Amino acid sequence: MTGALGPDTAVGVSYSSFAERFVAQRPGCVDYVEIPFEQLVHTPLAAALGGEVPLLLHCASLSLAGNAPPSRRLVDQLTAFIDTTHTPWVGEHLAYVRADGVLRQYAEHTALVADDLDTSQPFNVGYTVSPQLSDPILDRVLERTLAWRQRFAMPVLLENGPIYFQVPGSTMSQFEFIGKLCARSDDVLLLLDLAHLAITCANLEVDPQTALDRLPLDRVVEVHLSGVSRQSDVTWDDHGGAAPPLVFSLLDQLLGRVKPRAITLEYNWDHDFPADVLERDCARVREMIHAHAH
Amino acid sequence: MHPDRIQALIAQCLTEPDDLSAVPEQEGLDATDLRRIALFRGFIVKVKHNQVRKILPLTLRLLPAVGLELTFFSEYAPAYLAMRASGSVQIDRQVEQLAAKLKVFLDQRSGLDVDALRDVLTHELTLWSPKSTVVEQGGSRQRGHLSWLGRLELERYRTNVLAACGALASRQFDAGRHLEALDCTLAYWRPRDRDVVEFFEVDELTALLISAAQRHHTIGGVGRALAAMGVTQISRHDLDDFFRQLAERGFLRCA
Repeated sequence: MTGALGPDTAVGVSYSSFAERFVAQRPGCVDYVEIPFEQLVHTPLAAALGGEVPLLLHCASLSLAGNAPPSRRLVDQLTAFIDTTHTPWVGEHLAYVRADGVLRQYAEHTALVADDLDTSQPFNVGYTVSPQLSDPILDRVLERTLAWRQRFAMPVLLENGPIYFQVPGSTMSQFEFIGKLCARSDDVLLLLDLAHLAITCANLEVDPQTALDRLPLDRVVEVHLSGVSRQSDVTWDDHGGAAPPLVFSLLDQLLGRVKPRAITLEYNWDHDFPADVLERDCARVREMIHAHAH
Repeated sequence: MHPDRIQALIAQCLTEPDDLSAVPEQEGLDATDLRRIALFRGFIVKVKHNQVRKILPLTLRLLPAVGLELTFFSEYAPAYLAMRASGSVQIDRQVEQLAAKLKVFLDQRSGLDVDALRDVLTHELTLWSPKSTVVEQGGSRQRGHLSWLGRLELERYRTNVLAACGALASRQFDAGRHLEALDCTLAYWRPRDRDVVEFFEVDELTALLISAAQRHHTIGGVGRALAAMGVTQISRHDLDDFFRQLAERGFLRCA
């Protein structure tokens, strides 16, 4: 699983046109670029960046917690980009993207893909939505994650999403849900988004340090950092801004416990993001990694 | 609550432009949940507009700074989703529809922050839109004929749009410091042979003379138009001098 990243914790940035310029203008500042699969589908030439810097593949299309599977075409494309990018793992959200309203919970399809699924049909949100946190969804996410892992012959990391509202029928917190998933299988590995963690805790009025301690941190392979914003009495994900002090504080707490393989700065919503801020935060993350290594 | 039922219901709320209030209470979603789902719908639409930041970066920074971002995008979601239903959308069309809906949204509100948003949006649209509409008037040998060497547009503002834009561009915007009521006019100049737009503030008299010149095309015509408006204190010599300066700066030719 080490691949092109080397044995130490690598520091990377999420793909954007800004990140492309950043890699070209400030060589050596980041160890890799994390690129969304959906970006590659839209602009396959973006994979050429892999000639400059290692690529990690991130995905938001498998809809692990949903009941509408991805199309065969989508899976074929994802498989091809796994080969093209030489990614050591695929990050995917603990979420659903599609829901068709058909009650299939107890008639789970065994195939992972649908031959003729029209993903333009309702209800394709086109964005990851945190699911109902219940035992049936836990079973589904676990089964799918392990199946995709087997199919791709590489780890599929589960990323905690930001929770903006509680889905009715939930019987546990997201932290319990993730803990149970990891307890059920040693093959469940995590992409821990610390901004999402901070957002979830703010919206549910939970202490983030305590929540972090409750997670199975030994499963964390990759970490995401990004900004957060507050609007209409809700805390939101914000990749247009730099990570706030709380997110760095959580990273410090995490690095005191475990050594992730990669830390990605998700500063990818603003094509004009200040390069100096990204460079500063990359340096800060490296200093924190160094401090905890000694 | 069956997971597929509730997840489909939430997905429906996020993807269909129906009124969220139609969701029955027995589904377990209370008013707070529905409000947050509506905001989340706006949040998703906002993220789908990240590429528009290349054209309207300051408008899209000012929206959250004055607390109107998710309210607007939530209201805009049905129109956006309807547009997307027919396939992917070119960025120009995305900008045009977003701007049109934002103007309607702002027209339903009042306040300094609303005026500033309208001004910053107008400023950015003016910088963007002339790129495809350079107007070049035909030349004439008639004495005093004015031939523009590009496109000059005037926009009138109710707030200190340059101060707001400067602070937004440097990411130092503070509503308390940078929102200011101020009547001002900016001139936007796009020379016909270069792909740039220059803008600068002009006083009321300059704006009046430029507007008159764009309508009447000769110095004599401008003089007659001013006289008809009761502006008699500007002599023909003053007009000759004014348009000679514009010619020296490369805005026009004066026959």
